[in-house]
Amino acid sequence: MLGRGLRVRATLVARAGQHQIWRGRGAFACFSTSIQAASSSEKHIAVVGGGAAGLYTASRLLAKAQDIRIDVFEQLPTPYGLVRFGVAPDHPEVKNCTTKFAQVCDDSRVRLFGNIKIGNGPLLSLERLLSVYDGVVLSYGASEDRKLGIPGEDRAGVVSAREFVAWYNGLPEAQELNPDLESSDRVVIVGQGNVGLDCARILLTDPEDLAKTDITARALDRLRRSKVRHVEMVGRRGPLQVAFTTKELREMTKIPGVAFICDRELVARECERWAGQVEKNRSLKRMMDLLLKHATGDPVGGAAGKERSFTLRFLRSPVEVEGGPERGAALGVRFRVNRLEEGAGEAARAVGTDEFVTVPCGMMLRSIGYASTAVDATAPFDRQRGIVPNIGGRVTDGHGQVVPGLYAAGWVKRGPVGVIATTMQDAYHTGDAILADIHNGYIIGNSDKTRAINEMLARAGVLDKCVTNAEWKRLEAFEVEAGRAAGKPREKVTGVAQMLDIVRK
Amino acid sequence: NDVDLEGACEGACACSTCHVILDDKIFDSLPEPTDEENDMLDLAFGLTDTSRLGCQVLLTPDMEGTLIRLPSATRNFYVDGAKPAHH
Repeated sequence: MLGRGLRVRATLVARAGQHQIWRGRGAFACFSTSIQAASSSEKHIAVVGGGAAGLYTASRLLAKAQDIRIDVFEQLPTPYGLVRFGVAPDHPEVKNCTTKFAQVCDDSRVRLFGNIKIGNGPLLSLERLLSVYDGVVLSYGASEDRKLGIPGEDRAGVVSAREFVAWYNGLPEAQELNPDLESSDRVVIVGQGNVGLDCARILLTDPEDLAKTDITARALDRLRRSKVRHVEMVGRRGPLQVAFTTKELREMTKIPGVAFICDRELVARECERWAGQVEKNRSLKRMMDLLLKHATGDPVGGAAGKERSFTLRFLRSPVEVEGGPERGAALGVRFRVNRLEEGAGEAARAVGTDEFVTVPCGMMLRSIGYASTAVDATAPFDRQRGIVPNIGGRVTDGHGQVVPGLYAAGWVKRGPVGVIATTMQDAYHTGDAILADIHNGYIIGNSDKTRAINEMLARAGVLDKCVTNAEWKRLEAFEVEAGRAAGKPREKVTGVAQMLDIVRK
Repeated sequence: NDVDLEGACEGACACSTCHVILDDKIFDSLPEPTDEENDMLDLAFGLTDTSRLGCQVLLTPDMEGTLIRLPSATRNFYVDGAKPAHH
């Protein structure tokens, strides 16, 4: 137990999962079996979720530890998560990070189990994973929406921005979305973040400029037939509180033939009122300069007379979605007008006035944030904050106690905010916590684990059902080849059954 | 250039992981960053007055011997000798 040639009388004081604390007699007052860690025994880590967070965590472990084995579980046959299904098709350079992801999956110490959903049944429960692996990393992100909770939110025509993005990016479960882009020339987007801007840009960009991207063929066809010409993006608060970033906003000012409209006077007033704060904050200042430079048009008359337009509307909260006038607008979104109180930036609060305004549109995209869920019924999850409770990436239970061997990385750890670079830093942080725990003997490897793990995987049907790294690469080659004729980087396969068909051949 | 610096987007000016801090003289001697580079720098941790994206800086022989610093929270730099691929 304690390594060859070393005999010590010791009593096992505590065992929790894969951790053992020993108390010895005499000179060895208390020690962990870190002596074991010094010898080369493999540490087996399971990663739940094969997106950026999981793969960057794995990458950190692979770089810093030799004797490590990582099993990555991904519910879809295709890994990479939002890098594949979230990043916009006209932002291909952002997807360059997948080169590194592919290196991780190709590493001989890594096994990719695609098409396997952890939490689906007792044989693949989190508890089962914790019983056979030395460490488990929860990195499954956020696959649901924050809701507005207003009447009419479930009307046809109210669409989740997350789902709309997933639809045009080929996520299998979003393919039946069928967004109506033909009954009306206007779309309202609620929420002022980058996801909303992506939706606006995809709706207003000339479809021929999207023809050579990896947008799905179906979405491209719909966009070619789209009658949408005017997109209005509405936020609860003011210009200083927008959640999107300058790069994405700049793109909206550069779409050929699309007028950029926002209340220039409101922006100027807010900038002056909070001039001190704005000056100190480089990114905020650059964003306001951009708004002031490009904002044209009359926020009241809005898009009248413009062929295509993008309007930023501030200080409005949606209170109800009603049916709209029949022709040209299926919906009427009723907004309460707000005013701002208290402070600049994050400190500002929106306070409702007695004024209301109704905006007719054919589709309303809800873009107020993503939301995570629990892996399964017994897994730690803070429903209120929508994250897996943790301290620096080490998961805690309902009483604030660290759950040995359980870690979290990415959006499921800190909330669904942040770009890929943020997630990378965060994942490295979690990886470092795991490495520290290995170094300090809180994670003890054991080469016999391999057999127990493989038995568990066999019993759960994983080995039969999974899509391996080699199979995923075949699927990817198929997609790249299918896209070649149309000049696209790939033509995504958008159905799981079809994916499995291709890789099993 | 033969500088070992990690970049998630592989030098495409689409992230901020290659953020470097240059000495004043070198910084001043470089052409101004584009809007695109500045947009990415907005998101960089520990931004300074002489920060640039490493992938947008062309190293020339007269810069030899200069000290290029990384922001204090950078974890991309491998300390065990592993070297990322060159871009």
